[in-house]
Amino acid sequence: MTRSSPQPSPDDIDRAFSQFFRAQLPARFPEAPIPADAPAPTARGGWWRSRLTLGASVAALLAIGFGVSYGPGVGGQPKPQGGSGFDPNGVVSDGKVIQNHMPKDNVPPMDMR
Amino acid sequence: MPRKASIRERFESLYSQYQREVWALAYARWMDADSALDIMQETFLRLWRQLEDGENLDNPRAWLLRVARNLAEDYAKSAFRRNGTQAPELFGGVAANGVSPAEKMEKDETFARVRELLDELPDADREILTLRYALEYDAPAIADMLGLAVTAVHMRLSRARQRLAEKLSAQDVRTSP
Repeated sequence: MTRSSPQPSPDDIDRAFSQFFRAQLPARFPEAPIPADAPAPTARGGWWRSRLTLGASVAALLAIGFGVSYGPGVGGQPKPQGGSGFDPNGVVSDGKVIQNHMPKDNVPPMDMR
Repeated sequence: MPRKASIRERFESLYSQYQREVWALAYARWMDADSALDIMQETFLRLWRQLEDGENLDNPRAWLLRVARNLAEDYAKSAFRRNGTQAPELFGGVAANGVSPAEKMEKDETFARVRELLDELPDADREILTLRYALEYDAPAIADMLGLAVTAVHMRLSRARQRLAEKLSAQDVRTSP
C-alpha cells in the first residue's frame, strides 16, 4: 500500500505513540512479590475484635452453664420439641393417631372392694 | 529489626505506588513488556529484602528507579532473561475489536515504525516517551521523576515526535484515524 501522504499532523503522531505504548502497558500488574515466609497482613483493630469475640464466647458459655444448673428443676414438664412430640392421648402433634402398644394384660386388676 | 507486618504494609503501599513507574523504566530499556515485568518484580524483591534488613530508605522512589535501571542494564547478561527481543508484530498485538483487517495492517505498520524509531533513540528519550504515552505523565511530572528540567523534557518529546513524523511520511504509512 503505497500512497503519497502528507506529513502526519502532531495529533496523528501523538495518537500513534499513545496507541503503541498503551498496547505495551500490562492490562493488569501482578500482585506484589512478597516472599512466602512473610506474615499475613493484620486487619486494623484486629486485637480488639479478637478480645470482643473471646469475651462474647466466655459470656455465652457462662450463660449456658447457668441455664443448665438453675433451669427447670425436678417435676418440671419438659416441653415437646419440634413437630413429632408424643401426646399422652396417642396423638402426635402433626395430628396422626398412633396405636398405643401398651399391652392391656399388664393393667393390674382394679380392686372393687 | 522492624516488625514484619509493618514491613509488609509499607512494601505493599510502595508497590502499588511505584510499580508502573518501575515497569516503565525497565520497558524503556528493553522495549519488551514481559522483560520489564521480570525486572520490576526483581526490583521489588530487592526492596523487600532492604526493608526486612531494616535499611532506612529516605527516598524509596529514587531507590527503586535506580535499582530498576541497574537491573535493566544487567538484564542482558543475567540468567533471568528468557525471551530476548521479540518481533515487532508481537509488540503491536493490540486486541483488534471491531477493526477491519486493513486498519489492523495499517496499525501494525505504524507500530513497526514507532518501534524502529524507539530502537534508534537513546534510553533517556525512550524513558520520557514511555512515561508520557504509557503512563500519561505530563512534562513536569516526568521532569520530577527523572530529575530533568521541564524544558529538556519538552525538547526531547518534540524531537521524538518530529522524528516519528518524518519516519511515517518517508515510509508512506498513514496513522489510523
